Amino acid sequence: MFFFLSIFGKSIDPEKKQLFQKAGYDLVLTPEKTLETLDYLEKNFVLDTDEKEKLDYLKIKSLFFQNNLNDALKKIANNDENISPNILILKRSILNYLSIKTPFAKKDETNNDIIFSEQIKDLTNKINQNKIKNISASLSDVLKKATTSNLILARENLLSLFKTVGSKDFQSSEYFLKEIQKLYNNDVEFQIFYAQFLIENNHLAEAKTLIDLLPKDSLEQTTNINLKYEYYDLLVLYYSKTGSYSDYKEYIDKNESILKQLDQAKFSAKNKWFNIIENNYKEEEKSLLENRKNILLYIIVVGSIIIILILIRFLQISTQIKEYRNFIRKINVLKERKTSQPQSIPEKTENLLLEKLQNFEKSEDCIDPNISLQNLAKKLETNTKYLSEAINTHKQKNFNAYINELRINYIINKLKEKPIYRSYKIKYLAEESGFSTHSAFAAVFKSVTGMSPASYIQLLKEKEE
Amino acid sequence: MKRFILITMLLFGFFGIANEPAIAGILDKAQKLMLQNPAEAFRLAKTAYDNKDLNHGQKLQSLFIMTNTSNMLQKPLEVIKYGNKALEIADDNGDAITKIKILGILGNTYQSLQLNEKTRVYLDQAEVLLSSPKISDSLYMIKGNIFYLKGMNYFYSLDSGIALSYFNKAINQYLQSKNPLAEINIKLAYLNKGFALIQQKQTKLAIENLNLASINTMESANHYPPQFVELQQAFTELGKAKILALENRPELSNNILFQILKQRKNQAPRDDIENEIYDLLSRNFLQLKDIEKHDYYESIYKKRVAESNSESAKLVNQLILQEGVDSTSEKLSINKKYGFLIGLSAAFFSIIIIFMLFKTVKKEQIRRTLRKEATKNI
Repeated sequence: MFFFLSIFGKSIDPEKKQLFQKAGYDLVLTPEKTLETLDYLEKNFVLDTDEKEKLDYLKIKSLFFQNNLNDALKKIANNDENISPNILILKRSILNYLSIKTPFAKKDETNNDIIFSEQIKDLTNKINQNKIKNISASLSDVLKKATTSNLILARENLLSLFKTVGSKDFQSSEYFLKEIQKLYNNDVEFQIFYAQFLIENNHLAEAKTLIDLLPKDSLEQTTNINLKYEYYDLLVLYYSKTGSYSDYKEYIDKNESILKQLDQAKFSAKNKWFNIIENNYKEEEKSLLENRKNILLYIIVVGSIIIILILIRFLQISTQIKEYRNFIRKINVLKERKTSQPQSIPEKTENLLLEKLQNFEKSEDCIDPNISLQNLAKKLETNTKYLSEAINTHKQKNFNAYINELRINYIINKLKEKPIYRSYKIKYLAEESGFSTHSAFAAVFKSVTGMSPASYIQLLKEKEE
Repeated sequence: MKRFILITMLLFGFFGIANEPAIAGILDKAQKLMLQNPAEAFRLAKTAYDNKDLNHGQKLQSLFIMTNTSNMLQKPLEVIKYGNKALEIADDNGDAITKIKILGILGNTYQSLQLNEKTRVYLDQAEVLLSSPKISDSLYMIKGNIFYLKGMNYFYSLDSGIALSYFNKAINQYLQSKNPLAEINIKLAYLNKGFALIQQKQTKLAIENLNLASINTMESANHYPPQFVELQQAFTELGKAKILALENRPELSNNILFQILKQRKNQAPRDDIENEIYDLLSRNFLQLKDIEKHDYYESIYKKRVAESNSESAKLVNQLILQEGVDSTSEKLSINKKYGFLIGLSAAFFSIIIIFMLFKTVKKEQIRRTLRKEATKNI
């Protein structure tokens, strides 16, 4: 794993560099140590994006080597679009190990590491299916590319090809295996497969030498379950050739229990992956549905608000139109109210009473809240009958309407003459003009002018502007 | 895995009378043909299903027939496709019995694809429904089938203790059932109970159950389909061979295994029985210290397992692809439905807003004119 740092070529903090180097070095034989180192790195150092990616890559690989497939799958569950090419290659290797095929995302077709990994995978499949025509040329091509490619990223695929080529009796196999082994000269897994190749081809002495060189104790204790299985498988193969039954039986038994573990983990991982895929699809559908619902809701809410606002404005305008029309009508009625009425009171008395009424109208006595027909009759030195008849005949209204109109005219004059009145509250204007309540004032104002006090004040303001 | 087929083919249903006579006739015919000619039953049900005028009951009936016949024709992807649609309708209709049957078939199908967790989800749902008040106590056959499938699920998860309790429950239900087909299912339940006991190395009890599973060809073989009898006998013999191997009698075990292979020479190969035979032969030869023969049978076993795993992986890959296709089509349908609604509501609001703006502008013009007039007279 000395070549580990070549992956991400950038210069980094020496301690971090050392820890990453250690994590990479431990990965194959002691993946649990790799995890520990990575946890330490994660907790004690600030990592940039590249370093985090590197850390994730090593973590996933470590989990994969420890046969903790479910956790490894959780980490590669994202859509291909959201993961880096390095992790994507690893994801495909893990899924390939589980015999799960995933369709290629188009953007991956341009990444060299991905293209190379797919080329190796394709060649391995073709060799397995005996569909390859010129194996030597294909292996040479892979070898040539391997020498210049990122060996960490290509490892799983090259290992799979190495194993496949080793199991076939090709003339060109040996050269390819030796050269690949040179590239991975410290990787025990390649050595195991090479020893298998030697046994299959009856080079038992050479295989024995290689087996003796393997770190037996580390392999017996390794948490890399596949590696352990391959090691025992190598020994089973070796002892089956040498005819040593007790050794053979021992490793067959050991192998069987590991195979069970591997199969169970694969079985469970396949289930896990299916659930992940199903959940991903469901999540995508759910989020699309929510997004569309939100758009629909947005249109309905915004549309409704706009409609309500327009409707409010429309009603405001309609109310004002109604008020203006009433006002104009009232004005016209007032203009037409000039015709004389038949007399029933003696003319002299009537003229005198009308003169007194005119004086009363000019005064501000109408705003007295206690004013009544009797009070006014007494004040004008007449009787209520004459007063009522004079008001009815000459003002075309009853006493109350007459007083109310005078009061409204009084306040209108104030509004016109003293702009300060326009800023007073309706309640004050009502009191000022002799009304006991502001609602009565507003109602009478509207009946007299045809519009509300507020509209009238607004109109006055607009006129002066 | 194919051992499931017999039991689930008996899960066919009971439906109400359809409203439309032509469709009702097709569906009735399809239902009657399910056992004798599943391919034709599927075709008829598909014809009915493609008719747009189906009511909910007819839709459910046609989907159920398609699910059941796809199961019998060993087309797991179609079982999942139609089964899930049927499940949705059964759920909407509150048809608990049909729902249980479909959950059973779906669970069985996922089991055949080695998707154990998914299997358990479906069977757990079915088991919960069994205890609902809508399910009559007398539905012994359906209950037995669900318990049996759950037992198989635990058996394949190597949880033989729980598997045994479910096999016992299944047997208890089948014993109370008056359905003649329960006789077949009870034999299967005894057989697999025997295998679960072998897994627990309880050889004496295992042999008792294998004897109960075995069919006395002289007396009652006529009650059972011939293919079932042949398979059942092969499996019980395999069980006995396993027990002999456990008792350190590999030669005797091998004799039985070779005998089964000889009897099955002209039969269609089945992974579930032949793989186990080759595995056991390789183990027996290892016990007999015959490395060469051990290697030979082990290589056959491994090759066969690799082939069946690859077949199963192919199906799972297809299933994943189908899930992707279904999801894409679901997304398209969401886009289509909401695209239409969004367009419609946008158009609706735009028209109303434009109309109201037009009216308001007109009113505003009137208001301004009137205001001018009013200000003149104020």
